[in-house]
Amino acid sequence: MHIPEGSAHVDLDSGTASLHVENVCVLDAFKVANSVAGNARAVNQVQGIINSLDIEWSGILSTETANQPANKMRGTFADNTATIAVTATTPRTMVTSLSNGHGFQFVSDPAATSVNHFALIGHEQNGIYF
Amino acid sequence: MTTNRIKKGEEIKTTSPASNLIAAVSRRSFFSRAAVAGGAVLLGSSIPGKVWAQEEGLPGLCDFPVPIPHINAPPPGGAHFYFPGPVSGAAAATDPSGAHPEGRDPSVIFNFKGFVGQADFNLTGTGTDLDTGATAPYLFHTDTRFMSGVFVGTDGVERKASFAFV
Repeated sequence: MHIPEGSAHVDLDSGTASLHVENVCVLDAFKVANSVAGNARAVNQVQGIINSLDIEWSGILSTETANQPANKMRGTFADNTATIAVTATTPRTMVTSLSNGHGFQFVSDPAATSVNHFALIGHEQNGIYF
Repeated sequence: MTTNRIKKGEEIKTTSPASNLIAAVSRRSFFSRAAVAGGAVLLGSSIPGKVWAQEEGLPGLCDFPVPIPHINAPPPGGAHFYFPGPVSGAAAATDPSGAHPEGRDPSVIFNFKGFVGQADFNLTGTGTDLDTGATAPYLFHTDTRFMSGVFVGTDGVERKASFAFV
């Protein structure tokens, strides 16, 4: 599935960026542990839809430059703050050990109510581009 | 998508890119890539037609992006990403694996050049059972990132693409 070019916009000088996606199919493993460990993925993972997702980055709290030989990465970054608003739906599915099979929809409260713990934007190059 | 459906008052677990990478660089390998990159993904991509590996007669999975080499330590362990935190590697409340003297790479894709964005949130909202209509307040925790630029996949071909991890 493709998301149109231009879903992400970045202006490093002003410390702003945005990400907007909609109607994206994803997989929902219900719990992080299931997803990371791959616990019974074939059974416990169902298709979900990100109906809409909007993240806005703004402000510059600090700037960092990186040159990391161990990671083969270098770049320029701005630590800032961000807000998020999202609507996601898991359609009705078969009953599994983790799901009653019911459809589920989550609609977030307005973006301004989200609590941001960490945010950054930047430009980097790693691997063969290092 | 890895979603932590946690009602208010219950324990919150960290959501991270160590979910399921669905790198939508090509439709054919959409789901197969999930296993390799080890993160959750939404993404947008824009690929010049001439570099579609499938159209060059190469195997359909060869345009898979390469995950960064770093493997995080518990909790949870074994996935190719750094928890959110300053690129300096300094200890951060958002990184349960501690400080990283080598630094942090916010990208989860290797052989990549371009813009990145990362944000770690708690967000509240309303969950609705679409069968019964029952609603309840929910609290989610998410680490969401995007990477927009060029990358070289496992076939050595450079592609332009945008990735987002949720």
